[in-house]
Amino acid sequence: MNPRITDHPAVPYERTRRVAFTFEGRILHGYEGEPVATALHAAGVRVLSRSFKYHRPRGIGLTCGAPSCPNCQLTIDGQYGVPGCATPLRGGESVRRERAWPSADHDLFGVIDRFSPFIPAGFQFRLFRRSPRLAHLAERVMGLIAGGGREVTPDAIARAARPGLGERRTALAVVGAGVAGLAGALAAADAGLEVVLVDQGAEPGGALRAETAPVRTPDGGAAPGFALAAELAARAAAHPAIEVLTGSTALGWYEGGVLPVHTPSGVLTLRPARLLVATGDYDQPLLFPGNDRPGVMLAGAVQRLVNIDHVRPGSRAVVVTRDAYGYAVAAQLRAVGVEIAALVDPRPGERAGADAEASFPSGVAASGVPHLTGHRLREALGRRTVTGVVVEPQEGVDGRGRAVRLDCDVVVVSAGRRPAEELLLQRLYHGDITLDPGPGTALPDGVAVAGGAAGITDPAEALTTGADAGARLARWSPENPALPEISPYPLSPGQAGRPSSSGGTSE
Amino acid sequence: MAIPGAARTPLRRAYDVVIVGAGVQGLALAYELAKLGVRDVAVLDRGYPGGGGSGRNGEMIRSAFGSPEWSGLFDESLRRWRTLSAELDFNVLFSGSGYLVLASTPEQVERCRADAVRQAELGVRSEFVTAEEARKIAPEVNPDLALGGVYQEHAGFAHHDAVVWGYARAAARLGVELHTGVTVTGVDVAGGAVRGVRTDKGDVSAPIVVNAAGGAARRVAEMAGVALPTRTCRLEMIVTESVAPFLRPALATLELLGYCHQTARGEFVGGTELPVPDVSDSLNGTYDLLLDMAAKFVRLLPRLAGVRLLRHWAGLVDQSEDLSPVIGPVPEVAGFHLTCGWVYGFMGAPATGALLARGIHDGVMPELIRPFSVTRLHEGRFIQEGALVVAAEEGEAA
Repeated sequence: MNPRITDHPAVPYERTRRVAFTFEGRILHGYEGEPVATALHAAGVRVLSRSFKYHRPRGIGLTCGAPSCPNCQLTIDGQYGVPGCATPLRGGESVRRERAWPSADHDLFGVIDRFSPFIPAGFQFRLFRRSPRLAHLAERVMGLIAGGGREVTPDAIARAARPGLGERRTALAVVGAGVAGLAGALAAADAGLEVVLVDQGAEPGGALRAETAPVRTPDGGAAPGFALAAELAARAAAHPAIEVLTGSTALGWYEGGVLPVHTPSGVLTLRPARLLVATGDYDQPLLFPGNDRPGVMLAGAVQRLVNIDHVRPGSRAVVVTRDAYGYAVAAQLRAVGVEIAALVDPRPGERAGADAEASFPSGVAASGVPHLTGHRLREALGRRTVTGVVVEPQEGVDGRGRAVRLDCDVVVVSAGRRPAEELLLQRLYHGDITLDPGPGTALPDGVAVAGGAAGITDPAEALTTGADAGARLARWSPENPALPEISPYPLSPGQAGRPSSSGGTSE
Repeated sequence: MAIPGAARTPLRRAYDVVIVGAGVQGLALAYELAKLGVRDVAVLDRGYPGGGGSGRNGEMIRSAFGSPEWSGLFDESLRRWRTLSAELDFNVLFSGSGYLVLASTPEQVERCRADAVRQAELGVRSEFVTAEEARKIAPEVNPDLALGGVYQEHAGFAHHDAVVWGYARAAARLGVELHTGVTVTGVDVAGGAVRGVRTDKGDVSAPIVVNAAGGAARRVAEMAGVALPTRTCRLEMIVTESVAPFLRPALATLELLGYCHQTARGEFVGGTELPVPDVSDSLNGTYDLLLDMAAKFVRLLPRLAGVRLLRHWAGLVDQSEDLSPVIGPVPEVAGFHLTCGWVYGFMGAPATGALLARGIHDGVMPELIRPFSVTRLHEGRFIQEGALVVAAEEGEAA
């Protein structure tokens, strides 16, 4: 099956220019503006990199969005460690994979993984204790495969030497232009604040850009997620008091309220009087043997691939979920012609059925998709890529029968979210040696958190909390801090955002 | 997460020795005490093992210093470092790939030349290197900053977490009890002698209490009524993403007040200091120093241009006026011992642990640590160590 979706039922495709690029000596094609990793996936490249220690193959969508996720890092035009999932294809670039010799497809060091049962975690502390010579040799061998790349390009040196963009004061910085950040920026700007809105993505909208399901709006209506994201983004772009910085990363949040932002043209040192943290959340992976095989993907990554990039992750998917989101993504996959081999839910039938209802109104069974409630994923099969899964009844739930083997080339995992709370923790954690700021920890004056970063997973709720936070911050001022009404950090970090529908990663 | 070496039994009410602080100093001491047959040793920490300076330092190890006091202690330490993995039955990833102190001005070159001569007199293995030799040892270094230096071929660096885990496990095997999550709130002193400690988990009596509390050492000393003439300063470090090996030895530069090395996995680890000590007890990394480190290290090693940072952190040192450690008993409180005031505490730990344990066991401090007694600070007999790469008073590099 051609991975490219040419007749998406819900979202029009806007990328039209087909461009060529070089991949390890071959000429491949993709669409200008799509992520390089997407172009590779659509061209049939499933192994994007190798893991550092055991040299296991790694593919697209495995830990997408997690901080410093290395799984699709590529060397592009000699610059190593470039995140393939977040780098738009321009055409004409030269792309190579990393951490493998002679190639990621046939990595000789992959043999290490064959011995992995004999190489437990922390093995490096147990080997060569009594032989400094062997330890030294091991160090040298590690050196052969250490590091992402082999060269430093003049381009990288020139970019590093580029002067910074200097300092900027602003009334409000909003980090994250997802639904909560956009709503917060608009509310604050409407109330008269000058706002700088920072987002890592190539365009604003966040996770909502990939959502085709309808989202309730405060006026009582509803709109498909991607349409709502586009509308909010357009309003922000047109607002005279909002400056949108895309492709930009807030590097940290330092003493004195300094917020350096890495933009495509250099580092801008922001000094905001107020800060709204709307950094969203991360999909959580599940623990099972083979959970890192290319083809095992997080639901959010699948949604982006299908609804933004118009590329199918594979032809036959097993969807493992413990929340409504997984069912929504399953339905969206079906709508673009991906066969669903089974929907697997560890929870009992009635709870699973309730979450399935919105996406499968007459029940999953009626749609012809096998619905294995009370079942869990025992393992993913396949070496270089996923070829199937083994699913078994969950003890103590309503699952019955024996373990079954299902063939598939994609495993979609939806197991709950974790707030992207790094900016908050940078300030709250290090005040003392305590590991956990604790529930209800007061944020510094003039700081608020909204949306996924506050543990809110429902987009409609993220929209209202974002708008509310923006409006509250507009009412607060450093001269009159008695006004605040700024809500405290709502949950204990680490617990925030483990919504009721998820149960962690123990399954 | 399982804490290596953590006790599985509850905190008892009495021990022979209580050590405050499960950093590399406290754990090395506990291990060495147990090895000498001292029973009932407890190490208490409010956080986790290595959570302070022991897990935040630059991991670098050398013995080429300028004073007889430092050279003696640190050469003994380097000797122990080279066999520490076998000693602890745990690979601490010691890498004896050399330690180069770089000189970048004619004055610094002369200083290095003099240091090397003095080190030879003190019996420390090191060599003065010319600009050409320095560039051969570290070819990626900006030649403008490599006019010469002092090189120790058998020095290097180790994995600081592994060292902490190795000591903790080895100590536990010998019966030492490591209790984490226990905050010492007071030190009991009566009749001029220490009686034990008070903690948030109850009182613990012990005839010997050792203050190995790192950045919090001054506070713990105050609990015993002892005023340490030290001050708490913040140091910061960065680590980059893994890059192909380009730097073999550990490197320190007098010009940039910086020190760095590259791990076997390819990460570049380093820290710089501003000319004036950063008196603070905050563990927040600062943007000013992040910029300082980035600019200086790209200048020192141009191939770091464009390499991304993985982490940036701060740690605390509680340093004395002569920047030398404070080791041994406190005269006015019998049984109360110190191993604190450390700025080079990681590299000094293997020797100090063994020597202080011997001193506590025998009742007489061994010669190599005797010069570091706290009385020297009260009497103004400062140790004249001129080969450190740290920020000192009045904008002078010590």
